[in-house]
Amino acid sequence: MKKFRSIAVIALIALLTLCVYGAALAEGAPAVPTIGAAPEAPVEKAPTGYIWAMIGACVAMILPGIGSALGVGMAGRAAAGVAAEDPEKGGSCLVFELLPATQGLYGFVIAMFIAVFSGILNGSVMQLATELGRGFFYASLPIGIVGLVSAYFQSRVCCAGIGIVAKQGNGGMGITYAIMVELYAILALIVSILMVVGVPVNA
Amino acid sequence: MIVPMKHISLFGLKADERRIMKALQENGVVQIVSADGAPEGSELSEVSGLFRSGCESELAEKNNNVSRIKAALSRLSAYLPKDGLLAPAPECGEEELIAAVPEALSVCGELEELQKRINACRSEREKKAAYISALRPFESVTIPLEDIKPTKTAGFVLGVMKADKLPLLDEAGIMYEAYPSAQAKIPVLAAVPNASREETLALLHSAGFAEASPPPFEGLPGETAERLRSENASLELEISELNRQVAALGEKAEALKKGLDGAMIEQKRAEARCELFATRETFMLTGWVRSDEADKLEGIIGETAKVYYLEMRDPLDEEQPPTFCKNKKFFAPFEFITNMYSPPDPRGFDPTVVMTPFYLLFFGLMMGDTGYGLIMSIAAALFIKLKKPEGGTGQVARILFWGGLSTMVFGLLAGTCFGMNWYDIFGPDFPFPLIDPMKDQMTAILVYCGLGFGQIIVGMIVSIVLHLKQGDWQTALFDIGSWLMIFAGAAVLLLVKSPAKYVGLGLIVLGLVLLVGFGGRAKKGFGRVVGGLGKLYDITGFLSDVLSYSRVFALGLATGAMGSAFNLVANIARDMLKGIPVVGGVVSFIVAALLLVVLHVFCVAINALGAFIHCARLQFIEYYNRFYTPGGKLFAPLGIDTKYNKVK
Repeated sequence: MKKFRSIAVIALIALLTLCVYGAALAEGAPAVPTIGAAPEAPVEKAPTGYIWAMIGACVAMILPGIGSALGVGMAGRAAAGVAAEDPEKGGSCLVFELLPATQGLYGFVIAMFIAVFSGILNGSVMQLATELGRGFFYASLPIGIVGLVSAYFQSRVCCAGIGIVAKQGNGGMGITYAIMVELYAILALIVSILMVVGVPVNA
Repeated sequence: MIVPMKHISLFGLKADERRIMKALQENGVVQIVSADGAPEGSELSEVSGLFRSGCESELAEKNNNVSRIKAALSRLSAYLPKDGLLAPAPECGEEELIAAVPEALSVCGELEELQKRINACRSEREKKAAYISALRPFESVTIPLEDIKPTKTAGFVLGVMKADKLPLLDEAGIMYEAYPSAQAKIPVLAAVPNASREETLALLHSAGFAEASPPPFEGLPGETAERLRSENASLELEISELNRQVAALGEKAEALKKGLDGAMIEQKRAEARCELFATRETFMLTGWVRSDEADKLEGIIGETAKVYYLEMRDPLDEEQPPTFCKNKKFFAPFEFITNMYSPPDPRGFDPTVVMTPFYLLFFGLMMGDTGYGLIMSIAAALFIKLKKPEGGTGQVARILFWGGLSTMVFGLLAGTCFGMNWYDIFGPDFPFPLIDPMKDQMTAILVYCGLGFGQIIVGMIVSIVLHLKQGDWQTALFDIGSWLMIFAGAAVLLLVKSPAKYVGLGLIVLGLVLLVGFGGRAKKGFGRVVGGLGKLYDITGFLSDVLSYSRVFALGLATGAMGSAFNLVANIARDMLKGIPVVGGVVSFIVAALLLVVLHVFCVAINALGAFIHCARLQFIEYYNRFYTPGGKLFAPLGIDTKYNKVK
């Protein structure tokens, strides 16, 4: 628990500060002045939406990815322990090991959504207005943070569920208990999707 | 449908007991429970105790057989011929399996003997290896160890020290002999005069001399070490020869597998015999039988024994019979889902039939990809056809087959095909999907939550029917019916435009009156009012249950989005590899095809797992909550349960 807390807190703080600091720096920088432009013309700032969109895609992938990797790792160790004693129970344990893997996939989905909608894939992201880019960044936060935390806590339920398999032979209600934690990752996924597709890129 | 159980008591002659037990096991109709009839300390209980202890020692032997054969199979697992992944279990007669037990046990005996010899060789080798390493410092000593004997005036000590410290010994005037070797410390034999023993030893130690004694072998240490090494080499050869013999036993896999199945059959029967109660000449068996198989049971026993007495009765109120559900072929696999939660109470209601349509509906929506549905259905159908799985595996395979078909339908109505949008494949005029969750998220969420609300309503109606059947009309009307009235009234109020909509208002008011007025009917006075008002709080439960169905939207969308992301990955890989001169076209095609296959198979697997479990959860929490009584124990008749072979 302590380890997770420190990993999670460090990951979150480092990522968010870096993001915000980098983007703030970029927003402060003026566009390269064109030679021969009238000096009294106001210096136009280049749109920095691309930075925010990239950061958003990163947050959506990295945080739930960390959570799922931690979660699957923990559940996998527990499952290996049971399988070592009784290889026939390995199959039931596999289900528990895979449950915390979904948060990373949800994050992946959101990262792909951001990549498609913001134009990272076709290069049009460079013209993305700053406000729109920020929208993508905010959209990545629900799945990023909730995904990280819920994958970890789901994994703890999964480890307990693997204990049920070890003692009873099959997971039974353990799977349902573990699925309960997932609801919040799913709700975060929905909110993130709605936010991403709601950014008025083509307006 | 839950099949009612009958409690049976069977009395028979001990002479017939084994035949009856065999017949019962072959037919798998009775779940035997422990029979206990004799008062403590009576002569009867002594006789029965004798019988039981006989059964128990037989059971111990059978348990031992099973664990020996299992251990042999796991020891030989690396050498067993591989079964085809989809090969069905071979069919075998029960007699054949039981007849294979002695052969399997003799294979076990051979294997255990070989293993014992291997272990003996190994421990011998370890011992010698320890001697060899203890002898290593002394290998350069050139006199036989047994020749080192004290003389009248002096003793000898053997030890090791650094070669460059030898001059110190010369200075001290100690007589010694050094045997130079390549090692950092060389063996030194020093003479210690009896007269100045302590001083000499002290001098030796100060020069870095450390006494050491080689293992007690006669002759030159170097030769001894050499001899031990060659002995170890031959032990090594013997071990590998023995291992070869072990590997050769892998050919007997067939016999072992049959033997294991046979031993498991015997074990199960022996276990059941321990539950019997016996006098000198008779035995008594108690247990449960399905009421639709009661006649079959009579027939079986009538055929096997001439003299017997069989008593059948309905379960008493205080008894908890096991649960057995019997459903039509299409519904039967879905019992697996219910049992994952808990088998129904034997006096309750089997929800499988009212659950299956919703399960398939939401499973299809959660997968939501026609291509994936097709793959799932084909894979499941092939698996069922070739492997002929039974039990839980077979049920899951059938659920996935039907789920795949449902996925194909809902992929067309509200989803994608292999991660591609329908209008990208067939042009913008293609009428499907009817709801595109990518474009019209709110509609999709509303529709899915609406379907979920529908399921909850069905659950409430089922509950009303069940309560009415039990004659509990008050709960049906006040607690559940009132909510239905409120919902119906709200629907009328919202949908109907004419003045008739005030009927809706009336319904709502009636529902509220019933709910608040009678919700707390179990209590008196002030408690009744509070209880009724408290019932209003249930609305939050409805709300969260309905919102829970929004997961259908998220999972359905996630499947399509993951699929399209994987398509994108394969496309990018193809575009990158196209640039390679000459072979670029072929390589890019192959790599992209491989990527597509692997990634999409992964996508099907992970999403099918997600849909399977989340869909089950919707049934358990949102649906079963409304009407289901869990807490049964599955009917587990004495039967034939094998691992490798299927019994004809």
